[in-house]
Order: sequence, then C-alpha cells, then structure tokens
Amino acid sequence: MDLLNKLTIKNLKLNKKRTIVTIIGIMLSVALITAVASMYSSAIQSLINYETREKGNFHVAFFDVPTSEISTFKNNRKIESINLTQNIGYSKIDSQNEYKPYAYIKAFTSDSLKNLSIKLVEGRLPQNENEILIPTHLKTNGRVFLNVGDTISLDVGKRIESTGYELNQFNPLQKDEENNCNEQIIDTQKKEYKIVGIIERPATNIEQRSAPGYTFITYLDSNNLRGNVDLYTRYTKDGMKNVYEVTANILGVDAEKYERYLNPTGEMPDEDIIKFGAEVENKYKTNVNQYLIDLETDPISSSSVGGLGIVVGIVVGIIVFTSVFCIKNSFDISITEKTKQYGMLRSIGATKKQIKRNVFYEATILGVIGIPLGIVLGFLASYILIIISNYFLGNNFVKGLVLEFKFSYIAVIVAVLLGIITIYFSAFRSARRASKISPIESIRNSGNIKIKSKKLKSPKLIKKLFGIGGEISYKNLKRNKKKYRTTVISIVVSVFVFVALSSFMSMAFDTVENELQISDYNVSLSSTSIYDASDEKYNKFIDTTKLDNIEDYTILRNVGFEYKNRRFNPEYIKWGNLDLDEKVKNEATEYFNIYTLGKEQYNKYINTLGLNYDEIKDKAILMDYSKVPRYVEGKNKPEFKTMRIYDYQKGEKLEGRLIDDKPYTIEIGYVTDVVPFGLKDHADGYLIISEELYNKIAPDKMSKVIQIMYKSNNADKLQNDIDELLKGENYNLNNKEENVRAMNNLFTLVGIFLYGFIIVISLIGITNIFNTITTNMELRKQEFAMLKSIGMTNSEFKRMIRLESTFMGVKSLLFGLPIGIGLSYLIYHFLTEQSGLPYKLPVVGIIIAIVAVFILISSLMRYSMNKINKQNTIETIRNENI
Amino acid sequence: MEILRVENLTKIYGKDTTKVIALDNVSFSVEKGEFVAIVGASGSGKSTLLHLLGGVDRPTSGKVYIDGKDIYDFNDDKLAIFRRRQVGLIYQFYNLIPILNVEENITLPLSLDNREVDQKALDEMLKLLGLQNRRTHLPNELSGGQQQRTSIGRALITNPTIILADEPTGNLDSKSSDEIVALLKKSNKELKQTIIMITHNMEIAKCADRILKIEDGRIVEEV
Repeated sequence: MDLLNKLTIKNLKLNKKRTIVTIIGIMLSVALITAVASMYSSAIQSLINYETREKGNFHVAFFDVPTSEISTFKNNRKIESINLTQNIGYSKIDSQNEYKPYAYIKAFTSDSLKNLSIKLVEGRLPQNENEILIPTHLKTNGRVFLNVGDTISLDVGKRIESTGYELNQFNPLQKDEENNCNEQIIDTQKKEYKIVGIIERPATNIEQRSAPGYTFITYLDSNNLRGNVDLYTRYTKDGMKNVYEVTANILGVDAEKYERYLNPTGEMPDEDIIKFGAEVENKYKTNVNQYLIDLETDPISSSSVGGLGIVVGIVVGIIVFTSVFCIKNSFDISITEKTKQYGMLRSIGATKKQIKRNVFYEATILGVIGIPLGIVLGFLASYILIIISNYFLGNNFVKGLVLEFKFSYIAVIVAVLLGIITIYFSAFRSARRASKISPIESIRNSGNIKIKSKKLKSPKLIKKLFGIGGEISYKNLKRNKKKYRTTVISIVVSVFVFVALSSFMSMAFDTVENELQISDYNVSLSSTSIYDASDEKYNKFIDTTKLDNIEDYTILRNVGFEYKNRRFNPEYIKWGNLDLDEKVKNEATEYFNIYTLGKEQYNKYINTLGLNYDEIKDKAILMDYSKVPRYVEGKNKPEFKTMRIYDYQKGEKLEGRLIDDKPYTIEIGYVTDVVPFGLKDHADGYLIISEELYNKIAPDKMSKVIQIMYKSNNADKLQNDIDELLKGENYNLNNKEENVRAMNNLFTLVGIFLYGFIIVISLIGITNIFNTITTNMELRKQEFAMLKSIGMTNSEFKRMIRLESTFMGVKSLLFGLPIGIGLSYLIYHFLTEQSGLPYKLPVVGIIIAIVAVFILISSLMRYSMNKINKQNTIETIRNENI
Repeated sequence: MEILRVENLTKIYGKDTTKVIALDNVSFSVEKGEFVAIVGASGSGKSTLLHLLGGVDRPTSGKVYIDGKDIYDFNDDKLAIFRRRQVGLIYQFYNLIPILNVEENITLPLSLDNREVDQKALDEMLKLLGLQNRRTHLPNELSGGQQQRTSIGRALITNPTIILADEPTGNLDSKSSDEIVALLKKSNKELKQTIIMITHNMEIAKCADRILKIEDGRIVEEV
C-alpha cells in the first residue's frame, strides 16, 4: 500500500472518535435517503397491491370480444397475460331491496378468480359451470338467505328496457314516473347452480352501488369458450409505456387521436369526441386502468400520487444539502489538524495531486464503511416505520390498504449514488485546500490563525459582566467565526425546523379537538331510505335510543317551510352590510327549517325554557340567536358578534307552504337563544315544534326520515350495539370519537415521520457540532494550559468554557427561534387561521429547543474540557515545544 | 533575605521499567533580588525544576517555600491564585493568547485577579519593554523578540515575588536574545526583581549573579 494511504489510515485510527462521528454522519445521511426511497417504493408497491387486490390486476379491459378473436390478443407481444370473464345474464331473485331485484351471473376462469379481486369469505371457488359464488351483501342488503351447499335454480336471461335496449350493470333499475318497473328479463334459460362459496361484495368496477343485480360468479372453462367474453389484459413494461398506441392498434383507430380522446385537453371539438368515441367503441368497449399503469410505470408524473414523488424529492434534497454541509466540515477539520503533516509531506516532495488523492482516499474509506451501514440502517428504519404506520392507520382510512415493506434495489442504488456524491462533494474543496498548503506556512502552522485586531473588538459590557474569561470566550467565537458559523447554522436550522414542526403538530391536534367540540353529540345515526319503510323498521331505529350508555339523545326530523316577505333584524343588516333590494326582499322565497326533537327531548327543552306544553304544543319556538361573522377588508379573521337574525316577535304568524306545497300558517310562540341538544352544529335560525304537531303537519314522505344524535359515555360500545340492533338495515352510523381517534392517529403518525426526520437531520448536525467543538478545544489546548499556568483557577476556567457555550447557544437561538416562530405563524396563517382558532405561540417547542441546545453545547464542551483537564498542564506546554 | 527555599525536591515520572528520576533530592535557596541561572543539558531536569518552583506541577517529595510559604500546602485553586500574584512565568514559546492584543496579554494576570490596571504603570512597562507602538497589535503581528518581550511584560506586571524563565531566548536570534537578557537584567537591577532563568547557553548564563549547574536531576556545581 502507498505510504501516504497508510498514513491516512493511521490518522483515522488516531482520531478514532472523530472518525466514528464522521462515519455516523455519513451513515445517518445514507440511512435517511435509503429510508425515504424505500418508504416511497413501499408505498407505491402497497398502492399497486391494494389496487390489484381491490379492483383487479389488469391494465386494459376489452369487453364483448368474440371468442374467435382471443388469439389476436394472445399473439400480441405487448400483452403479458389475459384473464377471461363472461357475462351469463340476469335472473330475478327474491330480494328485499327494491332497487336490486336481480342476480347477475358472471363466469370467471380459474385465473380470473385469482386475479380479478374476488375475495372468498367462506367455502371454496367454483370448479365447474354448475357451481357458483354468492356475495355477502345478498344477505345483509337483499335479505336473501342462502348458504354454502344450497342449490339454486335461476332463470337467466337478457335485461331489456321497454324500448328494447339491452341493459347492463351500469344501468340502475329503470322505473317510470309511477314508480313502476320499466324493464324486463327475456330469453330466459333455466339453470341449476350449487353454491360453493361466499365472497365479499365485488369492487365497484364490477358492481357499482347502483347496479341492479347482485353479482354471482360461476366457473368459466377456458378450454371450452363460446360467445363473447371480456378480456382483462396485463401489458408488458413496454406495452404500458405505449399503452395508447398498443390499445389503439388493437381497436384499429388512430393512436394520437386515441390518446387525446382519453385525456381531453379541450383541443378536440365536442362533435369530434363523440364521432371518434363511436369509432373507438365500434370494435370493443374498453376500460383503460390508467391509475394502475401510472403506479407501475411512472408514479412521479402521475396525477394521483405525483405529489408524493415531489415531496420525496424535496426531502432528499434537504438531506443531501445538510449532509454535504456537515461532512464537508468534518473533512475540513481533519485537514486543518493535519496541516503540519501535509506541509511536511509537501516539503519532502509530495505533489499536489498526491495530497489531493490522499484526501479522497480518506473519503473513500469513510464512505466504504458508512454507506453500507447506512443502507442497512435505512431499510431497518423503514421496515419499523411501516409496522408503526400500519399500527396507527389500521383500517381507519382506506379499508384493506396495508403498507407493505418492499426491498427496493433502486433505493439502494439511489442511496449509494447520493452517498458517494455527498462524500465526494464534501471532500472536493477540502482536498483542494490541502493541496494548496505551502510547506513553510503549514510547518509554522500560522495559516489557520490569521486574525486582524479590528475584528476582535468585544463590547466593554462583556468584560464588565463576565470578566476576562468572558472576554476571552467572546473573542474566541469571533476568531473562529467560520468554524462556529457551521455550528451555529446547524443549530439554527434544527431549532427553527423543530419549533415550526411542533407548532404545526399542536395546531393539527387542536383542529381535531375543535372538530369534536363543534357538535354536542358523539354518535349520530341516519337513514335516507327509511321514508317508505315499515313502522317496524322505523321503530327499530327509535329503539336504538333505549340502548345502554346513552346520556342524552335527540330524534331529529325536519320539514322545510317556504315563505315570502322575510324580515331581517336591522342590526343584522347593518352588521353584515346587507344592502338588499326591496323587490328582491319582498319577492324572494325564503326557507325555514322546522325541526322536531322527539317527545322526550322536546319536553326537556321546553322545561329549560320554562314553557308549558299545552300552551306551546301547537306553536313554534324560534331559535334565533347567532354568532354572526363579519369580514373586514385587509383582515384575514372575521369579527364575531352575537345577535338575532330575524325581526319576528312572539305571537307573530308566518304564512307559507310546507315542502309538499300545502299552505300552512305557523305561529311563533317563543323566541330563544337556547340551542337544544343535538343541534349545535346546525345553522342558526330555525323553528322547533312538538312531535304532536309535526306528526299532524309533516307530509307522509318526511314523517320517517330521521336523524338520531346520541351523547354517549361509551361511544364505541354504543356503535357496536347499534350495529348489532340494525343488522341488515341500511343506515349511516357516524361515531365522532372514532373519527377523531382516526384523525389523531393519522396526525400522530405524521408526527412520528416529521419528528423522526427532524431528529435524524439534527443528529447529522450534531455530528458536525461535535467535530467542530471538540477539535476547536483540542487546538486551543496550549492556550488553556498557559492560562492555567499563569494562574487561572479551575473554576474560572470552567466558567470561561461555560460562557463560551452560552454565547454560542444564545447566538444560535437568537436566529433560530424568531425564524421558527415566524414559520409557525406562516403555517398558522395558511392552514388554520380560517377556522377561527387563535394563534398559539409554540411555547413547549421553544422551551424544548432552548433546553436541548444548551444541554447539547454544554455537554460537548464539558466532554472536551474533561479531556483537556486530564492532560497535564506541563505536558501540554511542553509538547508544543518539542 | 531568603525568598525561595527548596528542600529535598524529588520528581519521578512513570513506574517500574519506565521510571525516570527527573529530580533527585535537590536543595538550594535564593535571596531576594538575586538573578540565578540554571544550566544543564537537555533532559537534565532543569525544566522540571522550574515547573515545580512555579507550582504548575507537584513534586513526588520535598518542599518549596516561596516567601516563607510552602506552596504545595495550597489546593489547586489557591495555588493558581498564588501563582498569578507571586510568580511570573516566561516560556520559550511565549505562549501568548492569540486573540488578545499586546496590552491585553500583559494585563491578563491582573484581569484574572479582577484588579484594576494602573494605566501609568502599564505605560511605563510598555516603555521598558519597548512596545509603546505595538500595544494594540495581536501576537501574530509581532516578531519573536517582541512576542517574548510581551510575555516578559505579562510576567512583570503583577510585581511578582519571583520570575521563572524557561529558556526565554531559546527560540530567538542572537540580537533578540541579547535584548531579552538585557531586559531581564534591567528588571533585576532596577526593579529588584528576583529571577530564576533556565538556559543551556553559558554565555547568557554568565549574566546572572549565580549559576547552578544541573545534571541527571542533581545540582552538581555552583558558580
């Protein structure tokens, strides 16, 4: 080995701690890059898996392809694989859901059953044309009770409209104006099937919500095909990249036009689109799964997940920038320390090139150790992060979306390349500096201390306050301005990013909290398809209020009331500066909501208001106080004032019409600002009437449309109980606590990512600070020894060092905190100000930042001070003399 | 009057095989106002002796009395304070603080002691050192001789009981050396300053009132 290189290794071993710290810095940067890249590719892969599992594993689907033409697809080199399905037809079944009266029978080949998002819940897959699968919602939604092992007999045929047009699953049940069925099934054939399994409700691309038939799936024998089939094809990589060309070729249309047709930009006139559309559908109907193709080929430019790629790019940019900054500093220090050695080498004839190579050799050694460690650490970190993410996300957001770890070679390559670039970038300037060292200058070691007295002025106050120790430490910071600048900048960046992030996080959680407080209930139940329900069904909903754990509830029903000649409160008009046209005011149709709260809640409400039931039961209570916002120009936040909106008084009668056009006159019996339970999140200004009155006046259609709000002391249990009670019904249950929990989980996860990121970035910064401070202390060893020898006591010495760290910390915080607070205000301004929440100074973040900075600096100083204290004063002074 | 007394001073470095006896039972005393030179080859123990006299190192055994006080009775902090008031140290490599200017370096021991700087005394000192025009210069803007004069100024400013100089001319050309020696002599004569100087240059040693020759840690000859 080259003697120079041997020397480098010896030096690295000699400065073991700094070498290790530098390697840690490299390792952390590479680990971060690896983790980000690996998380990104895992996320994309998870989306692909989710997509193929939920929607089917295909790129382009061709519908109604004659069996004879399948071979042309098989021979197409751009097509990787084909899954076949066939539509058998509709059959009327005994469904309770009036909009879903059919079974829709499809046949899948064994491959299709595997690849096209069929999820078996019970039993097995069909193996011949007499076996069939039924979906779970046939029972829960259609109330058709069939079990595995049953045999069913179906009359399968075509579904046609009265005009003779054939209908498919994308056409909802056709009804005429009298609500009579306007379609029929013809050409029926009797078929017997044995039910062998139950599957989950198929994805919406197979069965939409509005589809009139429950999807039954039987077996399709790929060796015995007749009639038309649907082809779900996967393209090759090359095929995906040229998806328009390949597809257009199959369809026999112009590729360029086809692309423009699928991605309309407005260039193509409407009539051309229609004309060309007919051309496209002439041969086969198609479905291009652009989302999956984007995910598999080019996720970054895809519209749906492209943003993620940009974020990843920015994050990697920040990492590389920080790393170059820190690692470069560490090389600089190493070279400063070896100035003498380089000078000596130069004086005995080493060329500039040799010196440069030497520095790069050092960089290579550090990289060879640091990069592989970083990659391992990065993958480990992303693996753990994925487990954590799944824990927090659970099934709360997108059912079935699970993050899966994917080992990605691209992540490795990216990390290695960026790692090498980072290191060489860092070493490059240091190498040039080292090669420029002149022999004589370096041997005298004067090159590093070029100070001018002018720059070293220190304010008199410093000496007065802190004595000579203070002055020396203050001047020292000035002397090493450049070196300390990197330290100060590292701290500043960490501090302001931390403060801004912590503020962002607390705002996010506040917003969630606020969301919970907007309403006074935590569980709500509603159903839209209940209005023509039986009394039995309606009572089932009402029965939910008798469950345990309910503290309060409101059974809310409402009907609209139209009237004219609205009168606003003059104060309200003035406040909102509503300059209303007289004519508009008089002629516009206005609208009141008339609510009823259920007997129990109504009684409670009039009790609170001190009203007598018999006196008020045929009149309306007007809830008419509102916190009215006013937007002032130049201000982002609205002003609020509580006032009445309307000018109606007790005893006044409003003439108008109910929603079914029945004329109705309602008398206002009372005006209040008390909001009944459950209506806190409803717009202010409404009428409340007794249940008795409501039942009398409400049209039949509206009498059973209800929304029930519950205040529960155990929202989760109540949710389960309601689910249990309403099994098989169509309803909408909203557990606010669960929503809030899900949001909190999401934000906690975001917090873990953000804080994790800032911590690692700070750690990289700390390796830099460690190197700067310790070497600087090392370089001043002689000075310290001298100070001691002329009589500086130990405590004075400690005080001096402490002061130096204080000055440095204060300086960093003076820059870092204001920037951080400014950023946090900006975040507030853009994200949360609209919601009316006040700005909160991120006090906790600031305190943590201050404490962390001082602990960090002083422990590093103490660490190097201890090292110096261990050295004998005499030895130190002497060492220099040799 | 006796200002310094050394009794049976011994300093041993290392243990067992690496054991080095740097000083071996040395005893002597110095009168107030005396200029004593200690000569010896390198490794003879003269620097060790000087550092022990200055209280920057502790002996293995033996005692050093300065102005009648046993300096090794003091703890580290007290010793440091004693040092900045009673002892002036001059090094071969000056050991100035690079970020402080001439004036600040000279007054450093006073500042450490929180004492006011007597401007008149400082002016006189600078005149004596010939550094009137260099008072705001930083050490790296000075020649070797000027730097050493600054460090002499630093040693003298506190009016110490004793000045210890460790090869003060070791790093200087002969002209500067002569200046420094003259300066030391002048302070010895005019300020009645007690000086103990280490050197291996017999020519310079001859300027002293008394020469102690040291060999293998022992005083072998007194001239």
